[in-house]
Amino acid sequence: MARNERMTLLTTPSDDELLRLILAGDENAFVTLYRRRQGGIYRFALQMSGSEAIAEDVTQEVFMVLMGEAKNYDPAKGSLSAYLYGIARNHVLRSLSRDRSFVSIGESYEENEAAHEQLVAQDDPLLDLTRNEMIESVRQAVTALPAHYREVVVLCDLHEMSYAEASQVLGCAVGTIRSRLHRARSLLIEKLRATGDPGTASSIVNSARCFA
Amino acid sequence: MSCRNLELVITELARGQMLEARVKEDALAHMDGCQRCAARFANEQTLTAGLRAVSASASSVEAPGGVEQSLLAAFRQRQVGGVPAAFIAPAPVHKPRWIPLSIAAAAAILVVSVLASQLIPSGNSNAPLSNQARVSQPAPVPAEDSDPLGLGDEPEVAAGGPEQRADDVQPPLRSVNRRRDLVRNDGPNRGRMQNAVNYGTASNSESELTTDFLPLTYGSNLAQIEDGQVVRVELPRSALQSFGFHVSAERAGERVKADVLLGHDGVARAIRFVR
Repeated sequence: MARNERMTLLTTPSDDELLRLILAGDENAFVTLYRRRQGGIYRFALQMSGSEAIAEDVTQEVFMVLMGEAKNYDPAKGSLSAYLYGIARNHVLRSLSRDRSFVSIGESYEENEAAHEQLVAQDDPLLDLTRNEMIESVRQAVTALPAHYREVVVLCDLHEMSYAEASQVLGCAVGTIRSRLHRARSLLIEKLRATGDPGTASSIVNSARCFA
Repeated sequence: MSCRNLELVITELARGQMLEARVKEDALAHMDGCQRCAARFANEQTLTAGLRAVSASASSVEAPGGVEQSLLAAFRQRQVGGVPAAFIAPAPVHKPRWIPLSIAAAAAILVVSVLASQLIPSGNSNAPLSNQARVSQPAPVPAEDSDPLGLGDEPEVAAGGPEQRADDVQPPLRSVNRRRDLVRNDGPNRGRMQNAVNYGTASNSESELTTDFLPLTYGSNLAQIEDGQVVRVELPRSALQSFGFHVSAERAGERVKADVLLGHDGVARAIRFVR
């Protein structure tokens, strides 16, 4: 590695700079990029799949793909982070299609449109979300969402991506991200209300959705 | 603002996203007079808090260190070149989800094994220790074993963590006379295998120098091989690169001897270089 390239690593190189060094065979650049991005990729895969084994495999796959096909990355189409998340997403969906037992998806949510309309209720456990068990309930509710809703919640709410970033990862329009997130959150509220402890709820509203 | 219009912005409002000031004011004003929408908004805010709590609780979760080790080993193998992709694919960490790659790796290893078998000198069966090799219990590594083999121009072995580069480490080379066939497996997935394993040798020369047996497949535990066969082959010197040895371009065409350790199933498990 040239001296000037070594010097580059002393600063904080961008992902694109690291990728250029990786393509030149720089091991340090690969390690730097891996350590910078692996946490997010691993958590995304874990939150999408609910399986540590899948998350590990997906993380490994993502960086193996980066090793072998980094030259295919086009900065004009989005950030390297989005590119990596996109690879991770494809591998997660592939893994889940192979082994559906990891996710007990309540597909009936989509089919039961009436349930979508009942977003608020008398007995609402959402007010107890600060409790640890409710954090776990939220996590499980996210995992139980249909995949195309789950991924927008994971990206936008858990990984705090903007709609534009999420659209790069998922390869769809910003408007689609926005509408899916809205629906996904509605499903989450419904799911949490359905599984919560009625005794803790104190919602003042009725179960009917308000469309005045 | 109507309840329906509020519904269009309630997600962004609850998530604290940027909204036009007038839209936000209208939404808040509507909720002041609409209990249902106020409750709906409260639920959205509570959900936002719950999701942020989930995010915060997982913020320190990272991939296990074994993943980095596997990837680093694969990266190094790619850089030295000449190794089929099936060889450099790291093994799965938890479950065998790399089945297609594993099949490809097995096929590639089988081809190597067949080719290696065809290269065995006919007189090899007269070797003092024969081709049969058996694994004994792990033995300690002698500290004085550091004879350079000189197989490469500057023999180097990639080992250790990411901070440790290939050109920082000298390979553990030793004379067959003093201690032969010490095997070390720098397993890419689950840390290093500390056990050392003794094997028989195909060598019939007491003056030969050998490297350690180097595993041909990631994650393979050489200590678990109960029976094996060692066959002598000749390879281009450039093959040394695949195992972390530095080879100059001028000498890449030369040939070097190597012992291939075959498992009882005929699959090549490890290789060592001989001089």
